[in-house]
Amino acid sequence: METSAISTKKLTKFYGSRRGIENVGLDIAPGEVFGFLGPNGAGKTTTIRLFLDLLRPTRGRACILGRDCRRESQAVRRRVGYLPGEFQLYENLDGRRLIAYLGGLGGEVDPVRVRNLAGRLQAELDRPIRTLSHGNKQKLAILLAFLHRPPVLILDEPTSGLDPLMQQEFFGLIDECRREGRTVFLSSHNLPEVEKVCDRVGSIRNGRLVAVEKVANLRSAMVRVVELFCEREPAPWAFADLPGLGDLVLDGRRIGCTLQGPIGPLLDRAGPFGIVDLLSRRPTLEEFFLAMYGEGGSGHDRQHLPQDPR
Amino acid sequence: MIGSIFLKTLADLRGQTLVWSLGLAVLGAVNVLLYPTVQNMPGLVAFLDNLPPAFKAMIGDVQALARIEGFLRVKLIDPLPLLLAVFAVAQGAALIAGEIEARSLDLLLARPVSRSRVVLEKFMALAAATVIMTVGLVLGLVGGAIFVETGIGVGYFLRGAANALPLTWLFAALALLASCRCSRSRTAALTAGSVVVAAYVFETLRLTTPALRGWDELSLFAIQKAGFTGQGSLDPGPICGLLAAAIGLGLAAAVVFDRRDLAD
Repeated sequence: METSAISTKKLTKFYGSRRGIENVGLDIAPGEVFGFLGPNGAGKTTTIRLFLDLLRPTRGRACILGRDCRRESQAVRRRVGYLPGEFQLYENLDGRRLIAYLGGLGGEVDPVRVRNLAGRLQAELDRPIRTLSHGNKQKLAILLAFLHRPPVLILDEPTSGLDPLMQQEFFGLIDECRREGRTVFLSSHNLPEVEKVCDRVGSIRNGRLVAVEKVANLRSAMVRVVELFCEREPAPWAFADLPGLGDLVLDGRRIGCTLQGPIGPLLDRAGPFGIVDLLSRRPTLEEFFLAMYGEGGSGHDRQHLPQDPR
Repeated sequence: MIGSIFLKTLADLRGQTLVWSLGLAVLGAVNVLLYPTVQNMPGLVAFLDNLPPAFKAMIGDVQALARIEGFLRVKLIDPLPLLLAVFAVAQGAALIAGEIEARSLDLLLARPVSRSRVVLEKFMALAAATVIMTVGLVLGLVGGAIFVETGIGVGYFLRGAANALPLTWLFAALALLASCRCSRSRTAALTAGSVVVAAYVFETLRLTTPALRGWDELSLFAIQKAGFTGQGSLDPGPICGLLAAAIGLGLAAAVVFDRRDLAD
Protein backbone atom coordinates (compact mmCIF):
# COMPACT_ATOMS: atom_id res chain seq x y z
CA MET A 1 0.00 0.00 0.00
CA GLU A 2 2.93 2.37 0.71
CA THR A 3 4.08 2.34 -2.91
CA SER A 4 0.67 3.13 -4.40
CA ALA A 5 -0.42 6.63 -5.26
CA ILE A 6 -4.03 5.65 -4.65
CA SER A 7 -5.21 2.45 -3.06
CA THR A 8 -8.48 1.26 -1.65
CA LYS A 9 -9.22 -1.87 0.30
CA LYS A 10 -12.78 -3.19 0.44
CA LEU A 11 -13.98 0.39 0.25
CA THR A 12 -17.72 0.41 0.91
CA LYS A 13 -20.29 3.14 1.29
CA PHE A 14 -23.97 2.60 1.99
CA TYR A 15 -26.47 5.43 2.20
CA GLY A 16 -28.83 3.86 4.69
CA SER A 17 -29.76 0.61 2.99
CA ARG A 18 -28.88 1.89 -0.48
CA ARG A 19 -25.51 0.83 -1.84
CA GLY A 20 -23.18 3.54 -3.02
CA ILE A 21 -20.14 1.33 -3.60
CA GLU A 22 -19.17 -2.04 -2.18
CA ASN A 23 -15.79 -3.71 -1.70
CA VAL A 24 -13.97 -1.53 -4.18
CA GLY A 25 -10.29 -2.46 -4.33
CA LEU A 26 -7.96 -0.29 -6.39
CA ASP A 27 -4.22 0.00 -6.63
CA ILE A 28 -2.95 2.87 -8.74
CA ALA A 29 0.76 3.40 -9.22
CA PRO A 30 2.52 6.76 -8.99
CA GLY A 31 2.68 8.43 -12.37
CA GLU A 32 -0.25 6.46 -13.71
CA VAL A 33 -3.22 8.07 -15.46
CA PHE A 34 -6.15 5.99 -14.38
CA GLY A 35 -9.59 6.25 -15.91
CA PHE A 36 -12.60 5.43 -13.81
CA LEU A 37 -15.50 4.55 -16.02
CA GLY A 38 -19.11 3.90 -15.38
CA PRO A 39 -22.59 5.11 -16.21
CA ASN A 40 -24.28 7.78 -14.12
CA GLY A 41 -25.09 6.52 -10.65
CA ALA A 42 -22.57 3.69 -10.83
CA GLY A 43 -20.54 4.93 -7.85
CA LYS A 44 -17.78 7.01 -9.46
CA THR A 45 -18.54 10.18 -7.58
CA THR A 46 -19.11 8.30 -4.32
CA THR A 47 -15.62 6.81 -4.63
CA ILE A 48 -14.10 10.21 -5.30
CA ARG A 49 -15.96 11.82 -2.41
CA LEU A 50 -14.57 9.12 -0.14
CA PHE A 51 -11.05 10.03 -1.33
CA LEU A 52 -11.68 13.66 -0.43
CA ASP A 53 -13.24 12.79 2.97
CA LEU A 54 -16.50 14.43 1.93
CA LEU A 55 -18.11 11.05 2.64
CA ARG A 56 -17.09 8.58 5.32
CA PRO A 57 -16.77 4.92 4.43
CA THR A 58 -19.15 2.36 5.87
CA ARG A 59 -16.33 -0.18 5.67
CA GLY A 60 -12.87 -0.43 4.24
CA ARG A 61 -10.33 2.29 3.66
CA ALA A 62 -8.77 4.48 1.03
CA CYS A 63 -5.21 5.77 1.03
CA ILE A 64 -3.54 8.40 -1.10
CA LEU A 65 0.26 8.50 -1.14
CA GLY A 66 0.22 6.17 1.84
CA ARG A 67 -2.03 8.40 3.94
CA ASP A 68 -5.46 7.37 5.14
CA CYS A 69 -8.13 9.49 3.45
CA ARG A 70 -10.24 9.53 6.60
CA ARG A 71 -7.77 9.89 9.45
CA GLU A 72 -5.25 12.07 7.63
CA SER A 73 -7.63 13.85 5.32
CA GLN A 74 -6.03 17.27 5.59
CA ALA A 75 -2.61 15.86 4.68
CA VAL A 76 -4.22 13.99 1.78
CA ARG A 77 -5.98 17.10 0.50
CA ARG A 78 -2.71 19.03 0.67
CA ARG A 79 -1.39 16.62 -1.98
CA VAL A 80 -4.50 16.37 -4.14
CA GLY A 81 -5.90 18.63 -6.83
CA TYR A 82 -9.64 18.07 -7.15
CA LEU A 83 -12.13 18.94 -9.82
CA PRO A 84 -15.72 18.09 -8.79
CA GLY A 85 -18.18 16.83 -11.36
CA GLU A 86 -20.86 19.27 -10.32
CA PHE A 87 -20.00 22.49 -8.57
CA GLN A 88 -20.77 26.15 -8.27
CA LEU A 89 -18.16 28.84 -7.87
CA TYR A 90 -18.70 31.90 -5.71
CA GLU A 91 -20.75 34.01 -8.06
CA ASN A 92 -19.94 37.27 -6.29
CA LEU A 93 -16.21 36.93 -7.00
CA ASP A 94 -14.20 37.20 -10.18
CA GLY A 95 -11.73 34.52 -11.22
CA ARG A 96 -8.73 36.28 -9.76
CA ARG A 97 -10.32 36.64 -6.34
CA LEU A 98 -11.58 33.08 -6.45
CA ILE A 99 -8.05 31.84 -7.06
CA ALA A 100 -6.69 34.12 -4.34
CA TYR A 101 -9.24 32.72 -1.91
CA LEU A 102 -9.44 29.00 -2.68
CA GLY A 103 -5.92 28.78 -4.05
CA GLY A 104 -4.62 30.65 -1.03
CA LEU A 105 -6.16 28.10 1.31
CA GLY A 106 -4.02 25.44 -0.37
CA GLY A 107 -0.74 27.31 -0.01
CA GLU A 108 1.03 30.21 -1.64
CA VAL A 109 -0.34 31.08 -5.06
CA ASP A 110 2.32 31.51 -7.73
CA PRO A 111 1.14 34.35 -10.01
CA VAL A 112 3.31 33.08 -12.88
CA ARG A 113 1.65 29.67 -12.65
CA VAL A 114 -1.79 31.33 -12.59
CA ARG A 115 -0.92 33.41 -15.65
CA ASN A 116 0.44 30.40 -17.46
CA LEU A 117 -2.56 28.16 -16.75
CA ALA A 118 -5.05 30.94 -17.44
CA GLY A 119 -3.37 31.59 -20.77
CA ARG A 120 -3.41 27.95 -21.79
CA LEU A 121 -7.01 27.43 -20.75
CA GLN A 122 -8.07 30.90 -21.94
CA ALA A 123 -9.68 31.38 -18.55
CA GLU A 124 -11.27 34.75 -17.91
CA LEU A 125 -9.94 35.95 -14.58
CA ASP A 126 -11.31 39.47 -14.47
CA ARG A 127 -14.97 38.90 -15.24
CA PRO A 128 -17.48 38.30 -12.45
CA ILE A 129 -18.08 34.56 -12.18
CA ARG A 130 -21.85 35.04 -12.40
CA THR A 131 -21.40 36.27 -15.98
CA LEU A 132 -19.33 33.25 -17.10
CA SER A 133 -20.63 30.29 -19.09
CA HIS A 134 -20.43 26.76 -17.71
CA GLY A 135 -17.36 26.07 -19.82
CA ASN A 136 -15.55 29.14 -18.53
CA LYS A 137 -16.38 28.21 -14.95
CA GLN A 138 -15.04 24.74 -15.69
CA LYS A 139 -11.76 26.30 -16.83
CA LEU A 140 -11.41 28.13 -13.52
CA ALA A 141 -12.09 24.92 -11.60
CA ILE A 142 -9.47 23.08 -13.70
CA LEU A 143 -7.03 25.90 -13.06
CA LEU A 144 -7.61 25.53 -9.32
CA ALA A 145 -7.08 21.77 -9.47
CA PHE A 146 -3.74 22.10 -11.29
CA LEU A 147 -2.60 25.26 -9.50
CA HIS A 148 -0.23 23.85 -6.88
CA ARG A 149 1.18 21.06 -9.08
CA PRO A 150 -0.28 18.42 -6.76
CA PRO A 151 1.23 14.93 -6.94
CA VAL A 152 -2.27 13.46 -7.30
CA LEU A 153 -5.11 14.86 -9.37
CA ILE A 154 -8.67 13.65 -8.95
CA LEU A 155 -10.86 14.84 -11.78
CA ASP A 156 -14.55 14.10 -12.02
CA GLU A 157 -15.89 14.49 -15.58
CA PRO A 158 -13.21 17.08 -16.33
CA THR A 159 -14.02 17.91 -19.95
CA SER A 160 -17.73 18.49 -19.53
CA GLY A 161 -18.51 21.91 -20.95
CA LEU A 162 -15.12 22.37 -22.64
CA ASP A 163 -15.00 22.98 -26.37
CA PRO A 164 -12.84 20.58 -28.46
CA LEU A 165 -9.85 22.94 -28.54
CA MET A 166 -9.88 23.31 -24.78
CA GLN A 167 -10.26 19.56 -24.42
CA GLN A 168 -7.00 19.18 -26.37
CA GLU A 169 -5.31 21.67 -24.06
CA PHE A 170 -6.64 19.78 -21.09
CA PHE A 171 -5.29 16.49 -22.46
CA GLY A 172 -1.96 18.29 -22.85
CA LEU A 173 -2.03 19.15 -19.14
CA ILE A 174 -2.70 15.50 -18.31
CA ASP A 175 0.23 14.45 -20.49
CA GLU A 176 2.47 16.86 -18.62
CA CYS A 177 1.37 15.32 -15.35
CA ARG A 178 2.27 11.89 -16.66
CA ARG A 179 5.70 13.11 -17.76
CA GLU A 180 6.30 14.69 -14.36
CA GLY A 181 5.39 11.43 -12.62
CA ARG A 182 2.18 12.75 -11.12
CA THR A 183 -0.86 10.54 -10.76
CA VAL A 184 -4.21 11.30 -12.32
CA PHE A 185 -7.50 9.67 -11.37
CA LEU A 186 -9.99 10.63 -14.04
CA SER A 187 -13.63 9.76 -13.72
CA SER A 188 -15.65 9.76 -16.90
CA HIS A 189 -18.44 8.13 -18.80
CA ASN A 190 -16.76 9.07 -22.06
CA LEU A 191 -14.82 6.06 -23.38
CA PRO A 192 -12.90 7.82 -26.17
CA GLU A 193 -11.69 10.45 -23.70
CA VAL A 194 -10.45 7.81 -21.29
CA GLU A 195 -8.90 5.78 -24.08
CA LYS A 196 -7.02 8.83 -25.27
CA VAL A 197 -5.27 9.78 -22.05
CA CYS A 198 -5.34 6.86 -19.63
CA ASP A 199 -2.90 4.03 -19.02
CA ARG A 200 -5.45 1.85 -17.29
CA VAL A 201 -9.16 1.98 -16.76
CA GLY A 202 -11.43 0.65 -14.07
CA SER A 203 -15.08 0.10 -14.71
CA ILE A 204 -17.65 0.44 -11.98
CA ARG A 205 -21.28 -0.57 -12.26
CA ASN A 206 -23.98 -0.68 -9.59
CA GLY A 207 -21.37 0.21 -6.99
CA ARG A 208 -19.07 -2.71 -7.76
CA LEU A 209 -15.75 -2.60 -9.53
CA VAL A 210 -16.33 -4.75 -12.60
CA ALA A 211 -12.93 -4.70 -14.23
CA VAL A 212 -9.56 -3.03 -14.31
CA GLU A 213 -7.77 -3.18 -17.65
CA LYS A 214 -4.82 -1.64 -19.43
CA VAL A 215 -6.06 0.65 -22.18
CA ALA A 216 -3.92 -1.28 -24.68
CA ASN A 217 -5.82 -4.48 -23.78
CA LEU A 218 -9.09 -2.63 -23.96
CA ARG A 219 -8.25 -1.37 -27.41
CA SER A 220 -7.42 -4.83 -28.73
CA ALA A 221 -10.57 -6.22 -27.17
CA MET A 222 -12.70 -3.43 -28.55
CA VAL A 223 -15.60 -4.68 -30.64
CA ARG A 224 -16.84 -2.51 -33.49
CA VAL A 225 -20.35 -2.59 -34.87
CA VAL A 226 -20.00 -2.75 -38.68
CA GLU A 227 -22.52 -2.46 -41.48
CA LEU A 228 -21.55 -3.05 -45.14
CA PHE A 229 -23.73 -2.42 -48.15
CA CYS A 230 -22.77 -4.34 -51.29
CA GLU A 231 -23.69 -4.29 -54.98
CA ARG A 232 -24.51 -8.01 -54.91
CA GLU A 233 -26.00 -10.20 -52.22
CA PRO A 234 -23.06 -11.67 -50.26
CA ALA A 235 -22.72 -15.39 -49.63
CA PRO A 236 -22.55 -16.53 -46.01
CA TRP A 237 -19.64 -18.91 -46.68
CA ALA A 238 -17.43 -15.95 -47.58
CA PHE A 239 -17.25 -14.94 -43.94
CA ALA A 240 -16.77 -18.36 -42.37
CA ASP A 241 -13.93 -18.57 -39.83
CA LEU A 242 -13.13 -14.85 -40.05
CA PRO A 243 -11.27 -14.09 -36.81
CA GLY A 244 -13.03 -11.58 -34.49
CA LEU A 245 -16.31 -11.66 -36.40
CA GLY A 246 -19.53 -11.99 -34.43
CA ASP A 247 -23.31 -11.52 -34.63
CA LEU A 248 -23.23 -11.83 -38.44
CA VAL A 249 -26.51 -10.86 -40.10
CA LEU A 250 -26.95 -11.03 -43.88
CA ASP A 251 -29.98 -9.09 -44.94
CA GLY A 252 -30.17 -8.88 -48.72
CA ARG A 253 -27.20 -6.76 -49.81
CA ARG A 254 -26.55 -5.60 -46.25
CA ILE A 255 -24.00 -7.24 -43.97
CA GLY A 256 -24.31 -6.52 -40.23
CA CYS A 257 -21.77 -7.81 -37.72
CA THR A 258 -19.54 -7.03 -34.79
CA LEU A 259 -15.80 -7.09 -35.29
CA GLN A 260 -12.90 -7.35 -32.90
CA GLY A 261 -9.51 -6.46 -34.35
CA PRO A 262 -8.55 -4.94 -37.68
CA ILE A 263 -11.19 -4.34 -40.34
CA GLY A 264 -8.96 -5.29 -43.32
CA PRO A 265 -9.77 -9.05 -43.42
CA LEU A 266 -13.51 -8.28 -43.39
CA LEU A 267 -13.13 -5.87 -46.32
CA ASP A 268 -11.08 -8.50 -48.19
CA ARG A 269 -13.88 -11.05 -47.80
CA ALA A 270 -16.65 -8.58 -48.70
CA GLY A 271 -14.72 -7.00 -51.56
CA PRO A 272 -15.79 -9.48 -54.25
CA PHE A 273 -19.43 -8.51 -53.64
CA GLY A 274 -18.74 -4.86 -54.44
CA ILE A 275 -18.72 -2.68 -51.34
CA VAL A 276 -20.91 0.37 -51.86
CA ASP A 277 -20.93 1.80 -48.36
CA LEU A 278 -19.47 1.07 -44.97
CA LEU A 279 -20.70 2.17 -41.56
CA SER A 280 -18.58 1.43 -38.53
CA ARG A 281 -19.11 2.70 -35.05
CA ARG A 282 -17.51 1.99 -31.75
CA PRO A 283 -19.84 0.73 -29.10
CA THR A 284 -20.93 2.96 -26.28
CA LEU A 285 -19.22 2.38 -23.00
CA GLU A 286 -22.28 0.60 -21.72
CA GLU A 287 -22.43 -1.72 -24.74
CA PHE A 288 -18.73 -2.46 -24.50
CA PHE A 289 -18.62 -3.40 -20.85
CA LEU A 290 -21.89 -5.30 -21.05
CA ALA A 291 -20.45 -7.31 -23.93
CA MET A 292 -17.14 -7.84 -22.19
CA TYR A 293 -18.09 -8.39 -18.60
CA GLY A 294 -21.82 -8.94 -18.46
CA GLU A 295 -24.25 -7.54 -15.90
CA GLY A 296 -23.27 -7.12 -12.28
CA GLY A 297 -19.60 -7.91 -12.40
CA SER A 298 -19.46 -11.45 -11.14
CA GLY A 299 -17.96 -14.75 -12.30
CA HIS A 300 -15.83 -14.12 -15.37
CA ASP A 301 -15.18 -10.55 -14.27
CA ARG A 302 -13.09 -11.52 -11.32
CA GLN A 303 -10.07 -12.49 -13.35
CA HIS A 304 -9.81 -8.88 -14.57
CA LEU A 305 -9.65 -7.44 -11.10
CA PRO A 306 -6.26 -6.74 -9.59
CA GLN A 307 -5.03 -9.10 -6.95
CA ASP A 308 -5.56 -7.74 -3.48
CA PRO A 309 -2.10 -7.84 -1.91
CA ARG A 310 -3.48 -7.68 1.60
CA MET B 1 -9.08 41.16 0.74
CA ILE B 2 -10.42 37.64 1.10
CA GLY B 3 -7.38 35.60 1.99
CA SER B 4 -9.14 33.58 4.67
CA ILE B 5 -12.50 31.99 5.33
CA PHE B 6 -13.05 34.61 8.04
CA LEU B 7 -12.48 37.54 5.69
CA LYS B 8 -14.43 35.92 2.83
CA THR B 9 -17.42 35.38 5.11
CA LEU B 10 -17.18 38.91 6.47
CA ALA B 11 -17.02 40.21 2.90
CA ASP B 12 -20.12 38.17 2.01
CA LEU B 13 -21.93 39.70 5.00
CA ARG B 14 -20.80 43.25 4.33
CA GLY B 15 -23.97 44.46 2.62
CA GLN B 16 -26.31 43.18 5.33
CA THR B 17 -23.95 44.36 8.05
CA LEU B 18 -23.80 47.84 6.60
CA VAL B 19 -27.59 48.10 6.28
CA TRP B 20 -28.16 46.84 9.81
CA SER B 21 -25.45 49.09 11.24
CA LEU B 22 -26.95 52.14 9.58
CA GLY B 23 -30.44 51.14 10.70
CA LEU B 24 -29.33 50.69 14.30
CA ALA B 25 -27.40 53.96 14.19
CA VAL B 26 -30.50 55.83 12.99
CA LEU B 27 -32.62 54.07 15.62
CA GLY B 28 -30.19 55.04 18.36
CA ALA B 29 -29.95 58.65 17.25
CA VAL B 30 -33.71 59.05 16.82
CA ASN B 31 -34.42 57.66 20.29
CA VAL B 32 -31.98 60.03 21.93
CA LEU B 33 -33.32 62.97 19.94
CA LEU B 34 -36.94 62.12 20.80
CA TYR B 35 -36.32 61.70 24.49
CA PRO B 36 -36.91 65.35 25.44
CA THR B 37 -40.46 65.15 24.04
CA VAL B 38 -41.14 62.02 26.11
CA GLN B 39 -39.53 63.52 29.18
CA ASN B 40 -41.78 66.56 28.93
CA MET B 41 -45.00 64.57 28.63
CA PRO B 42 -47.05 65.50 31.68
CA GLY B 43 -48.24 62.56 33.77
CA LEU B 44 -46.28 59.92 31.84
CA VAL B 45 -45.05 58.10 34.90
CA ALA B 46 -48.45 58.29 36.53
CA PHE B 47 -49.98 56.84 33.38
CA LEU B 48 -47.48 54.01 33.24
CA ASP B 49 -47.90 53.38 36.94
CA ASN B 50 -51.60 52.76 36.36
CA LEU B 51 -51.04 50.13 33.70
CA PRO B 52 -52.12 46.58 34.52
CA PRO B 53 -49.40 44.70 36.45
CA ALA B 54 -48.60 42.42 33.52
CA PHE B 55 -47.80 45.40 31.25
CA LYS B 56 -45.80 47.05 33.99
CA ALA B 57 -43.84 43.87 34.46
CA MET B 58 -42.97 43.78 30.76
CA ILE B 59 -41.78 47.39 30.81
CA GLY B 60 -39.67 46.87 33.91
CA ASP B 61 -38.81 49.80 36.15
CA VAL B 62 -41.55 52.29 35.24
CA GLN B 63 -40.03 55.07 37.32
CA ALA B 64 -36.82 54.68 35.36
CA LEU B 65 -38.57 55.82 32.18
CA ALA B 66 -38.50 59.32 33.54
CA ARG B 67 -34.72 59.21 33.14
CA ILE B 68 -32.96 58.88 29.82
CA GLU B 69 -30.95 55.83 30.93
CA GLY B 70 -34.14 53.98 31.73
CA PHE B 71 -35.84 55.19 28.56
CA LEU B 72 -33.00 53.99 26.35
CA ARG B 73 -32.74 50.74 28.23
CA VAL B 74 -36.44 49.93 27.75
CA LYS B 75 -36.55 51.15 24.15
CA LEU B 76 -33.19 49.97 22.83
CA ILE B 77 -30.75 48.20 25.07
CA ASP B 78 -33.01 45.46 26.41
CA PRO B 79 -34.62 44.59 23.02
CA LEU B 80 -31.25 44.72 21.23
CA PRO B 81 -30.47 40.96 21.53
CA LEU B 82 -33.83 40.15 19.98
CA LEU B 83 -33.13 42.52 17.08
CA LEU B 84 -29.65 41.15 16.56
CA ALA B 85 -30.97 37.59 16.84
CA VAL B 86 -32.97 38.13 13.63
CA PHE B 87 -29.73 38.87 11.80
CA ALA B 88 -27.72 36.19 13.61
CA VAL B 89 -30.24 33.43 12.91
CA ALA B 90 -30.85 34.37 9.27
CA GLN B 91 -27.15 34.63 8.46
CA GLY B 92 -25.91 31.85 10.75
CA ALA B 93 -28.34 29.37 9.23
CA ALA B 94 -26.90 30.03 5.78
CA LEU B 95 -23.23 29.81 6.68
CA ILE B 96 -22.84 26.08 5.99
CA ALA B 97 -26.22 24.92 4.68
CA GLY B 98 -26.22 27.84 2.23
CA GLU B 99 -22.92 26.63 0.75
CA ILE B 100 -24.27 23.09 0.55
CA GLU B 101 -27.34 24.36 -1.30
CA ALA B 102 -25.20 26.50 -3.59
CA ARG B 103 -22.89 23.52 -4.27
CA SER B 104 -19.84 25.63 -3.49
CA LEU B 105 -18.75 23.68 -0.42
CA ASP B 106 -16.96 20.87 -2.30
CA LEU B 107 -14.30 23.16 -3.71
CA LEU B 108 -13.76 24.75 -0.31
CA LEU B 109 -13.47 21.43 1.52
CA ALA B 110 -11.15 20.05 -1.17
CA ARG B 111 -8.58 22.52 0.18
CA PRO B 112 -6.37 21.39 3.06
CA VAL B 113 -8.51 23.02 5.73
CA SER B 114 -10.28 21.20 8.53
CA ARG B 115 -14.03 21.35 8.71
CA SER B 116 -13.72 22.72 12.26
CA ARG B 117 -11.69 25.61 10.92
CA VAL B 118 -14.36 26.34 8.31
CA VAL B 119 -17.09 26.41 10.96
CA LEU B 120 -15.15 28.43 13.52
CA GLU B 121 -13.89 31.05 11.06
CA LYS B 122 -17.39 31.51 9.71
CA PHE B 123 -18.72 31.81 13.26
CA MET B 124 -16.11 34.41 14.12
CA ALA B 125 -16.98 36.40 11.01
CA LEU B 126 -20.65 36.42 11.97
CA ALA B 127 -19.73 37.46 15.52
CA ALA B 128 -17.56 40.26 14.10
CA ALA B 129 -20.48 41.44 11.95
CA THR B 130 -22.68 41.74 15.06
CA VAL B 131 -19.93 43.72 16.81
CA ILE B 132 -19.86 46.14 13.87
CA MET B 133 -23.63 46.48 14.13
CA THR B 134 -23.54 47.30 17.84
CA VAL B 135 -20.82 49.84 17.15
CA GLY B 136 -23.27 51.36 14.65
CA LEU B 137 -25.88 51.62 17.38
CA VAL B 138 -23.42 53.21 19.80
CA LEU B 139 -22.33 55.73 17.18
CA GLY B 140 -25.98 56.63 16.63
CA LEU B 141 -26.55 57.10 20.35
CA VAL B 142 -23.42 59.20 20.72
CA GLY B 143 -24.40 61.21 17.63
CA GLY B 144 -27.82 61.91 19.10
CA ALA B 145 -26.26 62.89 22.41
CA ILE B 146 -24.39 65.69 20.63
CA PHE B 147 -27.72 67.50 20.18
CA VAL B 148 -29.48 66.44 23.39
CA GLU B 149 -28.07 66.86 26.83
CA THR B 150 -28.13 63.32 28.22
CA GLY B 151 -25.49 63.38 30.87
CA ILE B 152 -24.59 59.85 29.86
CA GLY B 153 -21.04 58.92 28.94
CA VAL B 154 -20.07 56.87 25.89
CA GLY B 155 -19.09 54.07 28.27
CA TYR B 156 -22.71 53.57 29.28
CA PHE B 157 -23.80 53.15 25.68
CA LEU B 158 -20.88 50.84 24.97
CA ARG B 159 -21.54 48.62 27.96
CA GLY B 160 -25.25 48.44 27.26
CA ALA B 161 -24.69 47.48 23.62
CA ALA B 162 -21.86 45.07 24.42
CA ASN B 163 -24.07 43.24 26.89
CA ALA B 164 -26.32 42.24 23.99
CA LEU B 165 -23.51 40.42 22.21
CA PRO B 166 -23.08 37.20 24.23
CA LEU B 167 -26.75 36.27 23.81
CA THR B 168 -26.62 37.25 20.13
CA TRP B 169 -23.60 35.01 19.67
CA LEU B 170 -25.40 32.21 21.45
CA PHE B 171 -28.26 32.49 18.95
CA ALA B 172 -25.74 32.73 16.09
CA ALA B 173 -24.02 29.55 17.33
CA LEU B 174 -27.37 27.82 17.58
CA ALA B 175 -28.20 28.77 13.99
CA LEU B 176 -24.76 27.61 12.90
CA LEU B 177 -25.26 24.28 14.68
CA ALA B 178 -28.54 23.84 12.82
CA SER B 179 -26.79 24.88 9.61
CA CYS B 180 -24.12 22.22 10.13
CA ARG B 181 -26.74 19.56 10.75
CA CYS B 182 -29.26 20.42 8.04
CA SER B 183 -28.62 20.62 4.33
CA ARG B 184 -31.10 23.44 3.80
CA SER B 185 -30.63 26.91 5.23
CA ARG B 186 -34.37 27.45 5.53
CA THR B 187 -34.72 24.40 7.78
CA ALA B 188 -31.78 25.58 9.84
CA ALA B 189 -33.26 29.08 10.19
CA LEU B 190 -36.65 27.69 11.19
CA THR B 191 -35.07 25.42 13.80
CA ALA B 192 -32.93 28.14 15.37
CA GLY B 193 -35.64 30.77 14.98
CA SER B 194 -38.09 28.56 16.84
CA VAL B 195 -35.71 28.40 19.80
CA VAL B 196 -35.33 32.20 19.82
CA VAL B 197 -39.09 32.69 19.70
CA ALA B 198 -39.61 30.09 22.45
CA ALA B 199 -37.01 31.83 24.63
CA TYR B 200 -38.69 35.18 24.09
CA VAL B 201 -42.18 33.81 24.79
CA PHE B 202 -40.87 32.19 27.96
CA GLU B 203 -39.33 35.49 29.06
CA THR B 204 -42.61 37.30 28.43
CA LEU B 205 -44.53 34.67 30.36
CA ARG B 206 -41.99 34.83 33.15
CA LEU B 207 -42.44 38.58 33.46
CA THR B 208 -46.22 38.53 33.31
CA THR B 209 -46.99 35.35 35.24
CA PRO B 210 -46.41 35.62 38.97
CA ALA B 211 -45.93 31.86 39.28
CA LEU B 212 -42.90 32.03 36.96
CA ARG B 213 -41.23 35.05 38.48
CA GLY B 214 -38.53 33.04 40.21
CA TRP B 215 -37.44 31.27 37.06
CA ASP B 216 -34.88 33.87 36.02
CA GLU B 217 -32.11 31.32 35.66
CA LEU B 218 -34.08 29.49 32.99
CA SER B 219 -34.67 32.53 30.82
CA LEU B 220 -31.91 33.44 28.38
CA PHE B 221 -33.22 36.99 28.07
CA ALA B 222 -33.37 37.40 31.87
CA ILE B 223 -29.80 36.20 32.17
CA GLN B 224 -28.77 38.62 29.46
CA LYS B 225 -30.51 41.56 31.15
CA ALA B 226 -28.80 40.70 34.41
CA GLY B 227 -25.47 41.30 32.70
CA PHE B 228 -26.13 45.05 32.56
CA THR B 229 -26.89 46.34 36.02
CA GLY B 230 -29.21 49.20 36.93
CA GLN B 231 -26.13 51.28 37.66
CA GLY B 232 -24.93 50.81 34.10
CA SER B 233 -22.06 48.47 34.87
CA LEU B 234 -21.47 44.98 33.54
CA ASP B 235 -21.89 41.88 35.69
CA PRO B 236 -19.37 39.29 34.48
CA GLY B 237 -21.34 36.30 35.85
CA PRO B 238 -24.24 36.25 33.36
CA ILE B 239 -22.01 37.50 30.56
CA CYS B 240 -19.49 34.68 31.04
CA GLY B 241 -22.31 32.14 31.32
CA LEU B 242 -23.79 33.19 27.98
CA LEU B 243 -20.36 33.39 26.37
CA ALA B 244 -19.53 29.88 27.56
CA ALA B 245 -22.82 28.61 26.16
CA ALA B 246 -22.15 30.34 22.81
CA ILE B 247 -18.64 28.87 22.60
CA GLY B 248 -20.00 25.45 23.56
CA LEU B 249 -22.61 25.58 20.81
CA GLY B 250 -20.01 26.81 18.33
CA LEU B 251 -17.77 23.87 19.17
CA ALA B 252 -20.75 21.50 18.98
CA ALA B 253 -21.44 22.87 15.50
CA ALA B 254 -17.85 22.11 14.50
CA VAL B 255 -18.13 18.55 15.84
CA VAL B 256 -21.49 17.94 14.13
CA PHE B 257 -20.15 19.23 10.82
CA ASP B 258 -16.96 17.22 11.16
CA ARG B 259 -18.90 13.99 11.62
CA ARG B 260 -21.42 14.30 8.85
CA ASP B 261 -21.37 13.03 5.30
CA LEU B 262 -21.57 15.55 2.52
CA ALA B 263 -23.45 13.58 -0.08
CA ASP B 264 -23.45 14.66 -3.70
